[in-house]
Amino acid sequence: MILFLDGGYTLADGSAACVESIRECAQDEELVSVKICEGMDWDGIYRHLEDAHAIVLAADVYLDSVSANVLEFLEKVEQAVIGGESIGGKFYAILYTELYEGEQTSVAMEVLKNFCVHANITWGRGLGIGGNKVEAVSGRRSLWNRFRRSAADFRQRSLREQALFIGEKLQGTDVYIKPEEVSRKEYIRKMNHEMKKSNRVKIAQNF
Amino acid sequence: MKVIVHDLQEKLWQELGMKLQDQDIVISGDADSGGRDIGGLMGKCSQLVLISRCVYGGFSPFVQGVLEKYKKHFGPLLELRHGQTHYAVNSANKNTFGMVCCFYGDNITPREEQSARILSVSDGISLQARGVRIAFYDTVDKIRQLNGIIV
Repeated sequence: MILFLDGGYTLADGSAACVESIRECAQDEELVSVKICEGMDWDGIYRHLEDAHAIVLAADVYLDSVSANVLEFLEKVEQAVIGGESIGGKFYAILYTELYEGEQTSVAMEVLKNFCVHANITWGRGLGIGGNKVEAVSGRRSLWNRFRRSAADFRQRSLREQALFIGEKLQGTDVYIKPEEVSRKEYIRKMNHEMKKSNRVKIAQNF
Repeated sequence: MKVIVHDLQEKLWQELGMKLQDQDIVISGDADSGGRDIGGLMGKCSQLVLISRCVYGGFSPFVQGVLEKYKKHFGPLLELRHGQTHYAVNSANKNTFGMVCCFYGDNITPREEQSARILSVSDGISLQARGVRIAFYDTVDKIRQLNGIIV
């Protein structure tokens, strides 16, 4: 069984994309998806953690860290291990940042690895995805839409690769990606333009 | 004005007897924040002091939660700094405030210490601090030594 932990992430082209990639690569295996939030069913979580062959955490990174919610969750899991729970599955991480460089998730990745050492869980592989503000939009064939589509495709390829590692329970070197198709400067320019445009729409709607 | 964010129990914090001035603001898990605009206060301070249990080489959930409240002074626009993309910082104190990151814990491994150091410097760059000082203490009692660091 694969346990997918949704640590609150803002994958623009549909939050199911990540789960779908894993499902495609591990068709014979049950996939249980759990959202990390307050008031979780901890008995159920412990059962899933014990049964899982692979644990996958997908989360946004803000100020070089996963959210406070996710940190609390990890501490509780560590406490359970100290209390006698046994977790045999490998741990995989998929971290997202809106910043261009996927490497900007590397500090948060280290924190997750340190957690694995504490909880005696084997590290599988980390994927840090930069440029997560890009949306996969179909429709008009404008240059901007083509940019967004190609950048999103780039993300999908890496997700599928990560899913293969998860499906086969393989360990691998951490990978950090960015939307190579566009330059850093172009990404910033486009993203800021989109943000200002959406702010103008919000202001107009408030009138 | 200093803003001190800590995750210590109120009793322990009081026992430390830190030297504070009237205008300094202390934000803790135990004390009621009284609906204060924490992000706004952090955006005006001359020194931001983060006192945190070292959790896997990072901040504790409480301190990280407080940092998340800083979001409105941060982004959504992006800019290029030090050859990397960063959120544009909108606060009045950018490039003028100092940051002090103090981690405590009796079992901080060298690897966790390294992670915490990189995290602190990286956050200092992200928030556009003037400088970052980092301290590690193996007991809560030793946090008193911060009296010589925070001004």
